[in-house]
Amino acid sequence: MCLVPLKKRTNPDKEMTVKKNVGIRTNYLAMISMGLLLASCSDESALSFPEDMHANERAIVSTTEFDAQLEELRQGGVMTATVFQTETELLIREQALSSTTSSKSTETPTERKAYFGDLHVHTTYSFDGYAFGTLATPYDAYRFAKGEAIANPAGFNMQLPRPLDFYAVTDHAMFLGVVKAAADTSTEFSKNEFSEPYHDLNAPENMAAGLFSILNRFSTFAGFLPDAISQITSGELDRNEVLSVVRSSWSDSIDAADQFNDPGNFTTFAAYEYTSSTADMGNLHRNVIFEGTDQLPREPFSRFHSVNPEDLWQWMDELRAKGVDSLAIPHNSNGANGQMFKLVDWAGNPLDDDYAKQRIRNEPIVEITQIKGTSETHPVLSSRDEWAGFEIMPYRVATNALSQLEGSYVREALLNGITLEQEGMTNPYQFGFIGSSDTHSAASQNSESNFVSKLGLLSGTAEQRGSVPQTGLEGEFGYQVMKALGRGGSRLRINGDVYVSGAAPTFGASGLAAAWAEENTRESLYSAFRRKEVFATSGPRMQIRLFAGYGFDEKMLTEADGIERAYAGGVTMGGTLLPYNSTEGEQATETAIPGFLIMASADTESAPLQRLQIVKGWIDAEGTHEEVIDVSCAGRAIVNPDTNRCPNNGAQVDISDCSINAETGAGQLSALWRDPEFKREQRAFYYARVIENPTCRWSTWDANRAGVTPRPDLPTTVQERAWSSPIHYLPE
Amino acid sequence: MSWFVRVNKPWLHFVVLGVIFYQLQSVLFPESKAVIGPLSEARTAALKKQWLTSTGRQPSPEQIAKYIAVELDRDMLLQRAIDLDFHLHDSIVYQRLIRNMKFIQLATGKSDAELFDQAIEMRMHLDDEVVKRRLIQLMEQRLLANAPPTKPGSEKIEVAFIKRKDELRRPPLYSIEHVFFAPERQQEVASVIATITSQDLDVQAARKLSSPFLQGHRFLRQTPGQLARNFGKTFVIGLQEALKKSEIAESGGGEWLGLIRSAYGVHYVWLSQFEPARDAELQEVEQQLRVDLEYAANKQALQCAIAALRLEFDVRGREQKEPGNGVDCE
Repeated sequence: MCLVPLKKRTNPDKEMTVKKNVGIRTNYLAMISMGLLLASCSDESALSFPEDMHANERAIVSTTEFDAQLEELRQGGVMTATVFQTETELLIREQALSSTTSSKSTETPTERKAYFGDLHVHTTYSFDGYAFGTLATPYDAYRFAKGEAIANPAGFNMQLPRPLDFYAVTDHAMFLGVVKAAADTSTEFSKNEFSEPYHDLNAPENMAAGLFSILNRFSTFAGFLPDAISQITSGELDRNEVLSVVRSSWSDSIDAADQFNDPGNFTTFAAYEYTSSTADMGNLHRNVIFEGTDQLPREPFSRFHSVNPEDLWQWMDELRAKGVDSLAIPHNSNGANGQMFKLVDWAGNPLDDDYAKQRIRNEPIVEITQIKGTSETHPVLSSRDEWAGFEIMPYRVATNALSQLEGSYVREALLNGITLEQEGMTNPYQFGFIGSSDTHSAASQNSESNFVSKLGLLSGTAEQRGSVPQTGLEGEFGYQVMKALGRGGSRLRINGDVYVSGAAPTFGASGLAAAWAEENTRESLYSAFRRKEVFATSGPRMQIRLFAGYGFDEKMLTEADGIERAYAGGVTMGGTLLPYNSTEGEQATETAIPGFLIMASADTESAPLQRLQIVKGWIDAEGTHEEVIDVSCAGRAIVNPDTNRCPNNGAQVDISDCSINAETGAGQLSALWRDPEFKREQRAFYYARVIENPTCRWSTWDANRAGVTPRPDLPTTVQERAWSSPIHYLPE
Repeated sequence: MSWFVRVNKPWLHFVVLGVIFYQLQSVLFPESKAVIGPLSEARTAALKKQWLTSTGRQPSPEQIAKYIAVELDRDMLLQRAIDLDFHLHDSIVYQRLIRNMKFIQLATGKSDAELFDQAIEMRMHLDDEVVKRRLIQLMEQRLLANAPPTKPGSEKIEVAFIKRKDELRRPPLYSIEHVFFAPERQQEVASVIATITSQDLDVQAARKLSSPFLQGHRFLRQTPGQLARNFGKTFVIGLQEALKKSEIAESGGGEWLGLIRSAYGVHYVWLSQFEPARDAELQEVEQQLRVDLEYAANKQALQCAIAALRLEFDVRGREQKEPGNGVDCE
C-alpha cells in the first residue's frame, strides 16, 4: 500500500520539518537521478498506425512480456475472488421524484423518431473516475446532458452545444462510491484504516496534473482493488460497511435518475457497469440498464459477486422473474483479447442452446463504438472494407498489451452467430448496435473539435492526450523518468519529439446511442432497445433507417408514406426477415427477393454525407463471407457496378484550419436495394452504414490549437459514420 | 452620621479607584488578539500558481485578493480549532498522525497513544494537510451548529421566483406537420402548393404529397432547440420569421407557413398550435428554487459566522475588508 503519496501544501510560515515529506522528496530525487542516468540511452521508435499495431515488433514484444507477468499474477487470484454473496432482494421505491414540469404531449404519437443519448457515463462514484479527479455527481451528469456546463477535473468547463435526449449514469458497481466515501473525511467510512491513503484525494491542493502528481495518483490507486479485496476477505475491512456504502451510492444514483427524468423531454435510466475481465485482462465489461425504477435490486451485481458474466445473466433472469427487467450491453469487445465473442462458455465448453438463449435474452444490443475505440471490425479481419480502420484501439483495456483480434469484433461475431444458427442453435450474437462515450468525467465526449477524452485530470491537456509533443518537465525528462519507472511504453519519440504513447492517442471522439421511438420516455425508449430498433453514431447526430421486406418498390423513396409502408409490410432494423411466403403455383418473381429500404440524413451541425452502404454477411458451404456495397452516393453519382463503390466526391479538408468544402456531399441519401446474390436458402445479415465527408480528427484540432504539426503516426482526418442494427434473414 | 462620612473610607476609595482603573485599562490597553497572517510571499506565489494551473490564466489582483482572504480564513479556523483542542479528540486526526509516525519510522516499540502524544509534541498536526482540512471542517460544522441557516419559507421562495422570472421563463412550443420537398423536387413545389391551396387540402391529405422525411412529419410541442435538432437552425429561424408575418400568434394555430428552407430541402409547414414563451408557474420550479435557496442559506450562514469570528482575531494582509464577503449578516 502506498502511504501518503499526495502532494502536500507546505506552509512556509511554519518552521517544523516533517520527515515524511523529506522521504517523498528523496523518492523524487531517486527518480530524477535515474532519469538523468538514462538520458543518453533513449531509442527512436518506429512509426506505427494503430491498425497496423498488430504487426509492430515492439508492440508484440511488449505484449509477450505482459502475458508472462500476468501468468505470475494469476497464481494469486485476488481479482477473481468472490467478495459478496449474490442477492436479488428488491428495493421498493416510490415514484415521486420525477420532474413535474413535463411538456409531454397528451396526444398519442404515431411515428417513430430518432432520439440521441449516452448509455455509458461515469461519475465521482466510480473508483477510477474519482482517481481521475472527477467530482461531478450523477446529478451533475444529468445537468450536463440537459445542456448545463460542468467542471472538468482539470479546471475548465465542459458544455454540450445541444442537449441530449436520454442519458444513463453507469458507474462501476465494484466498490461503487467507496473511494469517494474513503476520501471524504466527514463520512463514517473514512474513519477506518483502509480509507486513510485516500483522504482528501481530490481536494484542490491535490488536483495538479503535473508529472509527479500524476505518478502519485497512479501509485495511490495501484493497490486499491487488491487491498480492498484482501482486507474484506481477511475481515480487516468490514464487509457490511463496504456494502452499506455501495447500497447508499446506488440508491443516490437512482434518486438522481428519477429526479431528472422528464417524460417527453429528457429520459434517464437507472444503470451501472459490471466490470469483469478474464485472467489475461480480456475485457468483459457490460452496462446494465433497468427498464424502470419502481423496483430495483438493493445492490448492483458486480465482479465481486462473480467474474463470470453467465452469473450476471442468471441474476438478471431472477430479477426478471420478480418483474424487474434489464438488459446488459457489452462494450469494448475490441479490448477483450478475444474473450467477448468467443465460441466457448466460461467453463470452456462449446456454446449450447441454453447459453445462447440466455445471452441474447439479456444482451440484445452491443456498444459498437466509444472513446476507447470502435469495435465494428478490424482491417485485418475485413481486408476488403476500406473503412474498417476507423478509430482502432488495438490494446486490451487499461493495458499496453495487444488484444487478440478474433473474438473481439462485432462483425465477426455476427458471422459466427449465423454459423451457430446454421448448426441448429439459437444465435447468441443476433444483436443490435449502439454507441456511447464511456466518459469518466460525467460529460459525454463525442465532438472532434473540443474532445477532452475520458480521463479527467489525466487527459485534460493535448499533451496528455498524446496529440502534441510533451514539453518542459514532461518532455525528454519525463520520458526518461517513465522509462526508469518501467513505464517506458507510455512515451514515444517521433522525429525528436516525445509524445504520450499507448492507448490514449488511439482513443476516438465517439460515440452516441440512438433509438427509433414513439416518444422520449423510459417506456418507449426501453422498448426500442428491446426490439433493437437502435443505431450507433461516432458522434454526429446522423439518422439512419433500414427496412427489409417483400413488395418494396422505388416509390417508397419518393412518396410520403414510404416509411409507413415499410413498417407495415416489412421488418425494421434489429428484426428478422423470413422467406417470402408464396402462394401455390406462383412463379418466382422479383417480389420473392427482399428489398431493402435504406435512408440516412446528415447532422446539420456536422459534415454532409458521402455514401450510404450495406454490409452483408452470409454463410455457404465454404464458410462465412462479408461484403460492403455502396448503395447511394452524394451528388447523385452512380455506384460503379464492378467495384460497388461510389466515385470520389471530391470532399476535402484543409488540415491547417480544419475547414471543409461543405457544398460537396448530401443532406439525405436513400436507396431501395435488392441483393443480386440473394439466395432463399442462404442465411445472411445486412446492416446499413452511412459515411460522412472527411473532417479533422480531434488530434488535428489539438495540434492546430497548439500551433504544431499534427502527430505523424495518427490519421489527420476521420470519416464520421452511423451504423444501423442488422436485419437477419432466416431461411426456413 | 451623614452619607459623606459613611463613604469617606480609605478602603472604599481603594475599591472604587481599582474598578475605574481596571475599566480604563481594558479600554485604553485592550488584550491583544491572536494574529493571523499576513501570508508569506511564497504562499502567495503558490496560490497564484494554483490558480494558473486550474484556470489556465493569470489571476487578476481582485481574484488573488479573494484567494488570499479565503486562505487567511482557513488559517483562522484552524487556529480556533486548535485553541478548542479539536485535534486531541478526533479519530481521523488520531489515525492520520499515528500513520505518519509509522511512515517516518518512529513507531518502534511504542503504543498508538504514545505515538499520538509524540506527534502532537512534534507539532505534526500543524503541517499535515489532511489534518488541517479535517480541523477546518470540524470548525465549520461547529460554527454552523451554533448559527444554523434558516430553511427557506414560502415567502423567500416567492421572492426568488419573482427575482428569477426571466431566467425561469419557459420557451415557446410549436406543434407542426410539414410537406417536405427533397432537392430533386424543386420544380414541383409551386404546383403542389397550388393544389393544396386550391383544393383546401387538410394536413393529412397534403402530407401525401410530401417526400419522405427521415426525421418524421409530425412534431408536437417542440421548443426551438428541439426543432433545430431535427431540421437545423436555418429552419427554426425561417419558422420564426414566417410566424412573425402570420396572425397565428394571436389565433393560436391552424395555418400553413412557408416555404421554409432547411439543410435537407424546403418545407411547407402546417402550424397546428403555437404556445408563446411564458413565465413559469411557481409549482413548476418550486423544488428547484428551494434547493438553490437552501444551498445559498447554508453558504451565507457559514460566511457570516466566519465574519463574526474574524472580529476576534487580528487578521493581517486581508485586502477584502467587508464582513461576510459582502453577504447580509443581519
